[in-house]
Amino acid sequence: MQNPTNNLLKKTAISLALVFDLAACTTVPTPSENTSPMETRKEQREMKGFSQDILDARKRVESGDVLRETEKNKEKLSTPMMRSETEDASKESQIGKDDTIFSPPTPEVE
Amino acid sequence: MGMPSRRFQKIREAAREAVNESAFIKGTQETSGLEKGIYIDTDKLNADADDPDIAQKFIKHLDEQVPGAADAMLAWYNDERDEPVSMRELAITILSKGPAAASFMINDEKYGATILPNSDFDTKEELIRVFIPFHDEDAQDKIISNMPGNDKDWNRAVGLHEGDHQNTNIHNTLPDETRADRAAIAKLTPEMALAWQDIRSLAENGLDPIHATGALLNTGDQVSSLHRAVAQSYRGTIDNAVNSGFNWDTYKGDASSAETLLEENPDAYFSFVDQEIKETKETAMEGYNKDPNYETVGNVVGAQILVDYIKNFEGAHRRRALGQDVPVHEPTQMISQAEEDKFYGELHIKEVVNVEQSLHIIELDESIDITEKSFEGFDWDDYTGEATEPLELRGENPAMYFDVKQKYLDELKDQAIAQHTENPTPEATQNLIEAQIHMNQHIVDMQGYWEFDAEEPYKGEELKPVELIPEDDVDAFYMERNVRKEQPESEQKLESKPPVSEENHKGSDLSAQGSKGYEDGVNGSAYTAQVSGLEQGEPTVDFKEGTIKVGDTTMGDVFAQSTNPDPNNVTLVDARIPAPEDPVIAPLTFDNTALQLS
Repeated sequence: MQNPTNNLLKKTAISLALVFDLAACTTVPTPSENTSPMETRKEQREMKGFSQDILDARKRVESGDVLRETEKNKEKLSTPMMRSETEDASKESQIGKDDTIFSPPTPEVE
Repeated sequence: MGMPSRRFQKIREAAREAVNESAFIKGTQETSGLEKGIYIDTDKLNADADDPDIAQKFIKHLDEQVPGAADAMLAWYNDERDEPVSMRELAITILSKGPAAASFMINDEKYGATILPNSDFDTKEELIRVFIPFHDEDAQDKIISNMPGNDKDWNRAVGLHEGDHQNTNIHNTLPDETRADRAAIAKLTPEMALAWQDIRSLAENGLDPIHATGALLNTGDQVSSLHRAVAQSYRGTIDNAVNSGFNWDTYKGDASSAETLLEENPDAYFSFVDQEIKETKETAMEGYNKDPNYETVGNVVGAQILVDYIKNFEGAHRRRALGQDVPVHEPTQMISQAEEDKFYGELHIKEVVNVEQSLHIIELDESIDITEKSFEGFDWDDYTGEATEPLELRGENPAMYFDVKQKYLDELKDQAIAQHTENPTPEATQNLIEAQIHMNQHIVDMQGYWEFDAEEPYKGEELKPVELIPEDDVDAFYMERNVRKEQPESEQKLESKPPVSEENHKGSDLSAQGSKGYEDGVNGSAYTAQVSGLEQGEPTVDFKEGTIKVGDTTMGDVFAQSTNPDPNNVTLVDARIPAPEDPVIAPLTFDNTALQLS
């Protein structure tokens, strides 16, 4: 069977996933998916320096994920530092950081 | 001399708290410019989240300052909130928020609302620890010992930051936090300004990218989503690079991970990172020099941002964690500011289009059940199988199920095309796009069935996506939809320059006067610059070219202009007078369009 994968259909599929709350489009695509950290790094090294990381960051922006996160985090009360955001943030952060290497400590919530 | 009496200790503690509180309040007043304010002292509330009287205590605390303040604050807090909170919930939220700030109206007058730092967070040491909660205590101690200023200085700095938030309505975004930080450091001494920049670079940017301003405080750069994305990942990026790329085989020390290497031999750590940075910059410039297009410019801009975050982190680590005297990193500029700004404009369009399209599809999904519509005329009595509703039919006779939907969608498509051909109004364009969405959802549904559910291989016609309208036109439609809906907000997203006044310039070398292309706003006045193109009218979609323009200017250039306006083509408008609202295209429900099938 043909498997058309042009941009239009991808967009529709991603949006469908959003509709059905499959969270596909809020999952951050990391190069480490399905590969070991070392393999990932080897792959990145072929891209030279941090080039792959830069590309990944841009793709996240282009997909609208970063804007969605921004909209989600908007608050009426500002705070000068992370305090009350810690709990939510800890769920979605450490992007690009291999879990096998670094496990963030459990945040203390005020 | 004996120990001071308990009473004396209490008085001294109260005096210390009063001095810190006063410094904080004065700080907020310096940047907010508001004459009237409400101050919420969570210590004086004398309540915790379990207190059954917390709502009454909260109301009393606010209304004693300004009658009706509590109700006004609750109304403001609940405005546009999907699920309104109660007074009790608001009070509990406030308890956990301080120090914090906002502003709202009471009886048509604007008041600053300031939540004071509670007594657990009102010294230099306590405040710095809150910025870097995931550093171990020894590391925190080293950083605190290498930071300038006293309790009063740090309370003032936090107050200056919070005061600026009282000038805006949107909080917790990187542009807003950058604006507040830029306003704060412009008022601080150079030593405290650098300390503030450094604490931002040392903080957990990955966990809290909203406050990741460390690479943005000595530049006038606009703040893009790419900054947020890079801020969120760069610490992990460099640690991963060190973990897997560093030559551990020849390393003589005990460290075996990025984290331990940074502690044991920071020079080795940063030297390796520098090599990676060099390769990154060379690779980006190589591509750009061959062909300077959106992709290659994007690689360069991304490299600039990443390098600035990393080098500011290195500087902060060396100064504060290691006590070294190292120069402040100069912002990286590898290509022209105009090219950089144009890229930000194009990137912003891409992200907005994707978000708008997702929202549109969600709205569409909620407003119409296309399966139900497809089967409205289906005669279940004539059907010889056992299924009595569409989903049962999908399992029992998928070919028939998909065929019924396909016929309905074909009719929908034909009507949308006819309507659009006759008169390509925005409504007709929207209907065409919606028909396309429905058809492609159908194809995705069929693909899913044949890939995962079907027992037999697919033998029908090739399943191809439907394109009823060129992709560029679709993008232009969504950009226009966003511009119409979000005009004030989209301007704010791109507005990143701090309020600049002469006084600001006196405050610190670190005010927004970096070497990158930054142009001051209109000093201290209520006037703001409006750029030609933006002011000339409503955005229009050119379906022939597949672009969205304001006047003769493409949206990419409009965004670029808004950050670096042509000085000969800027008009002053009074920021106190709101712009007339753009007419909004009423969202079309399925039933009020010409696509209604009988």
